[in-house]
Amino acid sequence: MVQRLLRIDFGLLLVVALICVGSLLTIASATSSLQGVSPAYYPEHQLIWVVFGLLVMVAVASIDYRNIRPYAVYAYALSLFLLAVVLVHGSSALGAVRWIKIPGVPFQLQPSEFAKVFLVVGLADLLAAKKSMTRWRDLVSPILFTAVPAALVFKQPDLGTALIFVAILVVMLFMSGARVWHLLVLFGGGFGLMVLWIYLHLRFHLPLPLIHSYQLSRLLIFLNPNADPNGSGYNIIQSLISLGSGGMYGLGLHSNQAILSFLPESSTDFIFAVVGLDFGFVGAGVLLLLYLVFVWRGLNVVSDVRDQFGILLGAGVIAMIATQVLMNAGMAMAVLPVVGVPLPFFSYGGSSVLADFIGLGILLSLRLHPGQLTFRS
Amino acid sequence: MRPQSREKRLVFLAILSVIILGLLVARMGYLEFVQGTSLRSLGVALRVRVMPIQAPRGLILSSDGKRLATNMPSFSAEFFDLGQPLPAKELERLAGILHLTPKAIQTIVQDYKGQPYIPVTIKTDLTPEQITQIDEQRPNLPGVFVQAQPLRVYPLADVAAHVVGYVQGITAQELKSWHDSRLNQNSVVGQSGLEYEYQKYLQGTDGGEEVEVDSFNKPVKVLGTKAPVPGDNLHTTLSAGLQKEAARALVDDIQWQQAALKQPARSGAVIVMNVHTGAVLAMASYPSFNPNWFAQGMTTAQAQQVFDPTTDPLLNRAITAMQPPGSTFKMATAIAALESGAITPATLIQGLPRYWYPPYPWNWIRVYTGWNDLTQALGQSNDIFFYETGRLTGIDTIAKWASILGFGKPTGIDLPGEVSGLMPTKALYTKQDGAWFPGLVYDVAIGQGEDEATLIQLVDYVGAVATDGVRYEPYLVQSITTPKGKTVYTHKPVVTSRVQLSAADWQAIHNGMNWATQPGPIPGNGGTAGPFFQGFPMQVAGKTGTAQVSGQPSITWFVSYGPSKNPQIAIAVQIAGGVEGAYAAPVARDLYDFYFHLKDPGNILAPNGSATKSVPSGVVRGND
Repeated sequence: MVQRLLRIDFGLLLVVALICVGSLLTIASATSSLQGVSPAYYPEHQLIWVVFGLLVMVAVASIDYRNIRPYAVYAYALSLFLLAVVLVHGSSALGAVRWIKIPGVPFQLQPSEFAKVFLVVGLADLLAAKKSMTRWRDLVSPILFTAVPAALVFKQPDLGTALIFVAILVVMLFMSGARVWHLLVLFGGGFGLMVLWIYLHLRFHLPLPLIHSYQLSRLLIFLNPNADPNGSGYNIIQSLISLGSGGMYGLGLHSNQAILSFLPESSTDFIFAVVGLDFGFVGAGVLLLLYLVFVWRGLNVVSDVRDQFGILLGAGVIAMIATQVLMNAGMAMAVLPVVGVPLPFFSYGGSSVLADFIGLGILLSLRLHPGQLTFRS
Repeated sequence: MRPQSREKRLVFLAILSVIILGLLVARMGYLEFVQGTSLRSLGVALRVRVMPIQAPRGLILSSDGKRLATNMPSFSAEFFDLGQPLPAKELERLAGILHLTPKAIQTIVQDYKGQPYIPVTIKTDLTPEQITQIDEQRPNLPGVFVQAQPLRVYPLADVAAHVVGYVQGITAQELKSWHDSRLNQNSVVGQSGLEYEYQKYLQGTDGGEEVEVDSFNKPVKVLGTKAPVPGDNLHTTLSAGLQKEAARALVDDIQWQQAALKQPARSGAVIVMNVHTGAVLAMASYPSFNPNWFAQGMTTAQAQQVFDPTTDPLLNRAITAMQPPGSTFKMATAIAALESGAITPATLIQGLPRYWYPPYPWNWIRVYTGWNDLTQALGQSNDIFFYETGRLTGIDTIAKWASILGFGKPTGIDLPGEVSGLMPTKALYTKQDGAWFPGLVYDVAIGQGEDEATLIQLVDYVGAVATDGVRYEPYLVQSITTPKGKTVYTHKPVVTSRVQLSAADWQAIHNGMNWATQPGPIPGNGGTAGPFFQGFPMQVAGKTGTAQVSGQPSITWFVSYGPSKNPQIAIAVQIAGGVEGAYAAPVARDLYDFYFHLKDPGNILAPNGSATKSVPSGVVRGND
């Protein structure tokens, strides 16, 4: 037992603990000027979620990850069901339907957050069962497997989560042994085709599939936010102002409530801009570095895992966390479209914090339960 | 997959994550260090509001130390116009507090074509209750705030309204035409009187408070304050006490003529001037208006009264009404005749009831008055004498000397809107009527026909007569000082023209004007204004005048100076629609009484003398 406890990856825990502390400070700063709520409301609630997340993490970590494999398909099915419920009667915010109310539960649930981690589990189960991954047709079933939840979140519309699903799929296919040129042709080619289509649409009015023209222009506004400074470009401009105003070390916590009051979604989607404002280049850099350490520690964990299911689980969780960091920071810095992705362990919100801690629990479980393989060989 | 290739792929993912992190950090650094300055200033521009602090205008002070125009703190409701309409709920709440309709507020905000990020004034002069209500409702009224502003106040109200003038919020056009960088959309500027004439001095330099606001326009912190600099103070020649008396006596006389004498007296003006400097000590015009209404915003009823075209209270009749001067012009004719040698003080002209040349005009008193010299002719306003004097002098010689005496051109008083009057010549008559005939000079010689003068011209001219020919430019502002007390302007009396006559010639004119205020019968030893100076304890030199304007009530004048022996002040009175010139004389009598503290028992216009307001005995009615 003691030996097993020593196998806990304290490095990962420490990194996440630091991120969570930064999160609570930043949320407190970002929400302190909000009217009508006590300044403690948001950080207190986030703290509750973090504590709850830690408990869930401990529970997940204590289970041998192999034992969850039989339930992988049910987790996947449950997430599909919840995503379907969202579409039928979810509650909306900011034009997108993302939440559902569960009777008797005092908070709303965001199934798309859990769908990420459940997709990782489901894909790991599916891919680990495959004997070969080197043929084209080996890619069909995992792609379809991902496409169903991706379509459901895309319908909300939640393009950000759909893109994260795709990123998880690519990384897990990569780690399952799929041929690199297959992946390049499929996903690189798919991305290239998408860019070409958008170009043709903008240039020659080629009809757009799947999304409306106004949705496209909203997505592309990050390329030139000043084209609509009071409309779709407003968030990005305010985010850039917050980031640019921080300087080297930032203005400090609660330093400039005036700037913050202009920044929408300052405790969730644009929390990275608050980090830049309050902690400056150094603070934002340290935060990004913490996520890099997380990824590296995670990859380190994966490299010690001997079974395919465990490897894919770990890779999927890391992909989930890393792409969210990239997209959240990228949209705050106007290098990626504004798609509304939370910063893992950092953005205010129970569902995403819980999903992130489930992922962390899985990574811990990979090390805590090394299995018998090593003894046999 | 073999463990080795799996390791490779993990290493690849690790390297990829480092690259991505590197790119994100690079972008972060670019934003902070390359674009930081411009992003910061963009943010500041979006957040900082300059709330102007209006500078108080300079004070306008009377010579006896009273404030003719001052400032009081007042509070206005302001709104930050961000180009977005006010939410309906907020609009209704605000409308309720300010007793305006939501529509009216919307109109104010929409009509405001100001600079962005400068607040728009929704309502000025808030009551204390309204200020409290707005403060209490502040969380529910984003963008709305209360600002302290100086409110222009005229303590004398309508008493000196025409001289002091009034102020109003600036229009877009005025903002352009003033060419004054100290002015902005929220400024108030002088619209008339001294407020207009000395706008550049009275205007202060606004201060401002630079405030950082949040996205609800709620001020978060004050970044800097610049104190406003008040405008310069005008020290006028106006005596508040005399001004009040002048305005009151004028109204009293007009109302007396209306009520007791059933005359259509409807308007008038009076000026008191220092004959040795040109300093205007009092200038009143009736009907008047309350200039405070403009600063405070007026009700519909008040606006109807102020802008009534039939009474036109905004008109300063002392400088903008030009009318035939009638017999008050006779000193000018006399001076021209004496200068040109047409007559001497000893010249006698027979006072027939009617003149002996066509068109045989009548004397105003249609009786034989014997042989008149200049003195008697002035005292009794003998028209026959002046018809003949005019004929002997000639119209262009009269015009020449009248011009030197100030007729036909503005006196140059420091007030806006002064008109020039008209001094006709032979050329003008020829041009206007197509032909000149000698009979026209008879009209001109008695101040009729094309003669037109303003009251300020008459008081200035009678002042020149009082000082034996030294005419000063009338003025109202003695000096201008900065708020710190530094004098930036001092008026030095300006002699506009001089008339040289022998002492005997002047004496004949002075005697004639003294005769005019001497009680007694006409013909006989009485003057035209004699009955109105019965028992007056000081010798005043005067001249009555009544001008006929076809189809209109007569214009009646009384011009004077006093005391006769040692003239100090000149007083001119004009009443439109009065009985005749002599009936304007009580105003002058009252003002001499007031100015020289004479305690005159016969003053029918004295504040408590209304019981005696009857026509004094011995008044001869007619066209003097």
